Amino acid sequence: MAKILVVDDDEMICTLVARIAKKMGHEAEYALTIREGLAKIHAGSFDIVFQDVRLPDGNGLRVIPEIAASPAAPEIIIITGEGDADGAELAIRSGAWAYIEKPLQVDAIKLPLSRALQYREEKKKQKPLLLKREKIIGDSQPLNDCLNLMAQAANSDAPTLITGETGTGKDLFAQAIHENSRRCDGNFVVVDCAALPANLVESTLFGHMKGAFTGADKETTGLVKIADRGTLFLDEIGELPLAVQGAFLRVLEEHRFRPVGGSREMQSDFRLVAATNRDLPQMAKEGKFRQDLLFRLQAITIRLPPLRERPGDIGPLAFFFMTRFCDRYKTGAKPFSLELLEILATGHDWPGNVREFAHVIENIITTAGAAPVLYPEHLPIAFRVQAARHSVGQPKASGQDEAKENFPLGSLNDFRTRAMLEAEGHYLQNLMAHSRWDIKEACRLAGLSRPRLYALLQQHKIVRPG
Amino acid sequence: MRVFYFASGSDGLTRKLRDLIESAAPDSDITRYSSVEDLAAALLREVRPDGQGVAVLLCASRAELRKMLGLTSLLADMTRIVILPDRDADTISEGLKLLPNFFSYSDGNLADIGAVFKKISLKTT
Repeated sequence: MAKILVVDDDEMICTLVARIAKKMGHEAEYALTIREGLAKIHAGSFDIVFQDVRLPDGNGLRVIPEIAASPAAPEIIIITGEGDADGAELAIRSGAWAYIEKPLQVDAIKLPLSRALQYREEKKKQKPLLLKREKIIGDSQPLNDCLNLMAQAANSDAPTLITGETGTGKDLFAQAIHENSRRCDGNFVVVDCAALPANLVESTLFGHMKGAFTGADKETTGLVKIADRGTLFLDEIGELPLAVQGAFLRVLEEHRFRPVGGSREMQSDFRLVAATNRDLPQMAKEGKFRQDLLFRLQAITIRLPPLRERPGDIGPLAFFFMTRFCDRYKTGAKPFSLELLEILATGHDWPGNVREFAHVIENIITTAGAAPVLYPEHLPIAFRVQAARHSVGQPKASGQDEAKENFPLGSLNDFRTRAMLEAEGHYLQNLMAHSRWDIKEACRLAGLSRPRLYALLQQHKIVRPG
Repeated sequence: MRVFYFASGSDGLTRKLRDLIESAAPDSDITRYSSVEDLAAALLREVRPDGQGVAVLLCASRAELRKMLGLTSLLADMTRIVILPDRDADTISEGLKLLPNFFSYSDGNLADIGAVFKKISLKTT
């Protein structure tokens, strides 16, 4: 017997769903507001929550993460308005198990309820996995959702597509899938589709025979064969030329292929993991990516959240990278000041995600040198400026406010440091323009060592123009 | 683009590969390291702007390749091109642990490495 909760401001709907649940042999309760519902969820241990979207005290979708994170972690079925496709999509994207439309039909309630309970039973039977995930840091709900999917992927041989913005750790997840799978003793073969010129893709993947084309002096085994009994990781699969996509689809379906210039087919028992930061469904609509390949790829899809969607992981990540870089630079571990942690957590959107975060922490550690504590002053100036603007929020309207914004009155020391850093930035810009990005010449002109120059360029985020 | 070129030997291949890198990306800033220790020291010393570094690692032997595996975390954020000393399956498995963006063999087609390097340099700059 399961415990069901219905959260809806319409008492008739509540009693209808509760009656159906009871007839199916379950216990059922209901709540008329989000607040009342959350109180019941935290006090009881419900298996299923039917959650309405429009409630007097707010939007029901907004509390899905809280419901999912409650101790019993119930499955959530969303009740949406009739024909509200956007609401339905949002419900699923928010982590709901299913959605049902109003007006409610008895079968439309029974079916998802039994399926959700069946799913929950199966989930309970699964032994908790001890995942190897040394480099995947954090314990937030969005990350844990991805880890659960990663565990599913590791337990199967299904093609898996990992999507997410640049720097979210798609490669780390791909490796972790391999390391946690039965194939972990085989090869983990990376194919960087973005690094391969179009004319090399086929021979790199499938190999080639001697004399197959100009320059093919030796028979060469392709990466698909090298991944036999292991994992083939197609990174940036959106870059795979359209012409090769068809050939690869056949290989994915049959696990057989013919090397370039070869007459005999070869076999390879590989498992495919692919990753992309591109919108493959959109590319498929535009004819730039094969729809059939896309269908095959996304047997399991893991969408990695950007760092801004998991601010709770900033602290553990900061500690992880601080330890790594302090160890690397042999400076001994250093604590973060609260102000610095706050800026890291709220002062930046992290468009470059964890990769950008790691670089900023590395920068902080190198700038801090022998300082025993890490302060906001150790952040790159460009970052501090952005964080300051972020905290200021809306631009001020009056002239006086504008003046205050342009000349925030801090201590003289702060002002001097800021002015010096700005001047240093200008100098470096001019230096690099003058030397035409000839590093040797720039070092000579500035009287700097090469490493110091690189460190300064990074600190001021000065990059060679494209 | 900053290029960390590792080659312990002084044979024709070492020179050819360097010439190839230079012609594929003439603006790149290449430093050659002839010992794994020197390469490690350089990687530790230089804080590189995000995604700006490329490592071209010409491994003369399995022993050298194994030593190189100790630098995996230092090479983590860089684009890695690895040239393996032979085509033995065990050598390939060791080389794959460096998670190369591209790998080839010391008796392989150098033109392929040049083409890949050129594409990477275009992407990076």
